[in-house]
Amino acid sequence: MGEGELMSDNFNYSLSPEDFMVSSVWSLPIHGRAALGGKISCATTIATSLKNTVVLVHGPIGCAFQRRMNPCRGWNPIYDMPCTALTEAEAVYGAYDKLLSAIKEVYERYKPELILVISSDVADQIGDYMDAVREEAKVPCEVVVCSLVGCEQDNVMTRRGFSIIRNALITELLENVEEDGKDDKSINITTLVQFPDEGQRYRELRSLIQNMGLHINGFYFYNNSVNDIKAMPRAFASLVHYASEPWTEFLEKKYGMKYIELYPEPRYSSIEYGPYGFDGVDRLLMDIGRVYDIEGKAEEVAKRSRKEAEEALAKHLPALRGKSLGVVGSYTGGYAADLVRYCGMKCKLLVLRFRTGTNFDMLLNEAAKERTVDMWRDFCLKHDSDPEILVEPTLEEELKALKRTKPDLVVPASLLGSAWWYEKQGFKTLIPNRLFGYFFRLGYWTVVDAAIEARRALERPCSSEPLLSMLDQDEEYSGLTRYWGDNARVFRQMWYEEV
Amino acid sequence: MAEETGYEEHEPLSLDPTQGCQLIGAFRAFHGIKDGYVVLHSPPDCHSGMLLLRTLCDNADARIAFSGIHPRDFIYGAEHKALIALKKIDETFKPAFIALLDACAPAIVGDDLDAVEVKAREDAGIKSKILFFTAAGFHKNMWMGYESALASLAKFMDNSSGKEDSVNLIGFKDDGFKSVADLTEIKRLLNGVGLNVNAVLTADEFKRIECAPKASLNIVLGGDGIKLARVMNKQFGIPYVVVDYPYGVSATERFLERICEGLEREVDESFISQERARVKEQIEKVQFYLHGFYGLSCAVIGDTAKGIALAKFLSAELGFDVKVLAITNKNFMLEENLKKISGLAQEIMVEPDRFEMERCIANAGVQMLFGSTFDKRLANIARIPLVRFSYPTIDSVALTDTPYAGFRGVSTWLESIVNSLVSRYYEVRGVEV
Repeated sequence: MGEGELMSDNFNYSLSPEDFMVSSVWSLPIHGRAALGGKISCATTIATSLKNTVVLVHGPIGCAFQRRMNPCRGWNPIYDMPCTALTEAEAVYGAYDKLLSAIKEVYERYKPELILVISSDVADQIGDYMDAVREEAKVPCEVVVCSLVGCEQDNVMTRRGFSIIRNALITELLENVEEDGKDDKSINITTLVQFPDEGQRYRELRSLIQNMGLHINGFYFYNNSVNDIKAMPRAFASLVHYASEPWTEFLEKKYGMKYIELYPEPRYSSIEYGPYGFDGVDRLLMDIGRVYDIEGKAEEVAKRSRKEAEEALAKHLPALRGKSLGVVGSYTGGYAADLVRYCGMKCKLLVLRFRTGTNFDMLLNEAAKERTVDMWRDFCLKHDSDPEILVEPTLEEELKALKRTKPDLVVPASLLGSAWWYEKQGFKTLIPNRLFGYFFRLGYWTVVDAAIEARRALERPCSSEPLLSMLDQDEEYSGLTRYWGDNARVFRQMWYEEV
Repeated sequence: MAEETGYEEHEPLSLDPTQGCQLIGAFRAFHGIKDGYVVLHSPPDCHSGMLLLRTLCDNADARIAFSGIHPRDFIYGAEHKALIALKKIDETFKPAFIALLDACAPAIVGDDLDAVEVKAREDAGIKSKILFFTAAGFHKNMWMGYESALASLAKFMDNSSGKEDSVNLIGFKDDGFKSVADLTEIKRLLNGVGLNVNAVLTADEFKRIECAPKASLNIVLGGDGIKLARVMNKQFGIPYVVVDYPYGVSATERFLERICEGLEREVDESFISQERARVKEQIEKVQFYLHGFYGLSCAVIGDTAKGIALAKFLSAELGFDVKVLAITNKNFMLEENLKKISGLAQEIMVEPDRFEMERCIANAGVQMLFGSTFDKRLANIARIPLVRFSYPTIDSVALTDTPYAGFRGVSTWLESIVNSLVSRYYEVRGVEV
């Protein structure tokens, strides 16, 4: 493959050194396998993506000290993390006055536009009426109070730390904001996690929306000022992940704002579910078109943009078409599904693993796992593949199946960190790190990037003697050593089972 | 000498802290027990935070589990979960020792973990020695948690096996940057003057800690862990010496001299001469850079033991102008030390607020910064090199046997400092017209 083909100046994603940090940090078993980030880390993920904002932790010094390291943005510590330094006496008598003083001090020091007060467990337990500081602090900046009480990390998105903080920011900052003219061509885009180069990640979506004759009012939250947030009501509609989040309902009720839901009910009903792949993006654009009553334009943009991406994809198809795949998947299809449905690759072996990198997988019950197997089978049959399917096999069973089916390319699950294992066994392997941001990009060119990476994986030599193969691998948790596998099992029992 | 009894925390506490809470200090002390395990009775935040701090230092060694407290447990309590976690860890990892630490949430609820400790001891199935340590973060700060946790190990010590001509190292932290190499070097130095290390508190197996009273002398590194040294002095009659952390040639020599004095023996001068000769060879290789170092202004951000030792080395042996010395966390020896180091730096800050510390260093106009991962932004804004040495250093790995401590550490310091200055890309800045 020539360098020129790889370096297209269209909407390919160009990996940066920070992306290495993202994939390294996400390969740590802290996202639901041997530990869970917790609510403060989720909340600070959002909070630190705002402009001129200081997070004030209402809690003891330990919360502020250790939460400088955030498992969701491990490439960079959070440098400013003031706290109220709660003591034992305050845990008994309360610390409302201290919080009030701390807010004033934070303002004096940092002169922020926004002070975002986040509660710790101690603050939640002692029951300080934190909301009152918004009125009483008398500082010339906005104060948003976010109590994380009852915020348990589970699979219900609306109860997670970043959702709760999003609700607090939007509902509190817009509390007294009346609509000042609606821009019927404007849209808000909701971001999810924070990656180093969100601008590049949303480049294509921005272009698609502009081509439809719309414009983006703001990305929420990504580098926003208070005024940006207060300008949210100007948009006619918002692109949201889950309509059940209270802020979506708030905007709808108060400003009559429409929404387009990225993950509507019923969720994960098929492998092709979600705004991924050409068809997923087509659907998304048509959904936007319907809300703005520009379906014709949406269809035209979808057709033209898809065609451009398909033309870019076509250059890679001769190297991919007819090649066989071994797919290691879970409940989402992702780029593995794109290779089957758009690149003419055949799924010969499907391995389903539910002990991957997130607590979403961990919480799947047996019925959900069975449904996932059926979804994958239906998907493969629809696209002329009839794979052998293994569900949570041992490594030995998986290896036997790989040797039996001999796929041309293995596509490991995105968070398992096990690409080296397949290469060690002599199988060409797509490196998930290269497509790490796939699920956080919206656009047709994700398919092109998946094809480029698949082609490159087929061409480049395998890492046949990986140093990682010197480590004992856990049988149950791919990508973890036995030691970490044991840690993960203890964690699973204590967090998911002993409830 | 400052006594720990009656020590009071003074208000106002730092708003943006340079140190963690008691829980983190206790975790650091107990995690140094190499065949031990730490069980946090906590919600996921405390657990994942500490696991992350530890794992980013060492991907292979993070012996920390938790009892999985859910928000509903904030109301009803979750003692039973602590017991289950202890059983699970004992069964899975078979550690010699488990420290059970409570976080703030169960401490407020009032979970009776003393009772859990008793139940665990009575449980025939649990083979590990169990210790419950009250660690809720709102009680105390990190260094006090560290001191108390370390001192709590005295109850496991066995004085029945007689004395040996050996020493214990107290106050050694196994999560410090280059800690493995530093410990190897410190042991080599002690061996070089004919001494064996009996136990390292804490970077040793539990049985070594149980046998700590066998040593003839306790060496307290930079004053960290003096509470334990005093307890051992009282209970087992073991004398102790407080020594500077051995950074640099002179400090290392004094380190060995003080220890030998404490044991009433002569220092092996031939060993020291030999080591000096080796250091001299290395200095010759970078001699012209060392000329350039003179007067180089810097700031040092570190704890009492290492921060002061480094500032002394930079000032006395390299001719640096230490403009700011920020001591991120105290120990019981600090008050006494402060008198001795008066004038070492233009500004000495003790447990500063991070905001004020950064502002002070920025205003001081330094050419180089010595600190931790959390000082990266400061160095970047000031466009100066950052040499990492203090806790937490979690954005650099240390796999090679290149210590900062001891005679061999001098070469590592020189390498780090010279390379950080010389290998940078320097923009040519034109004159603005």
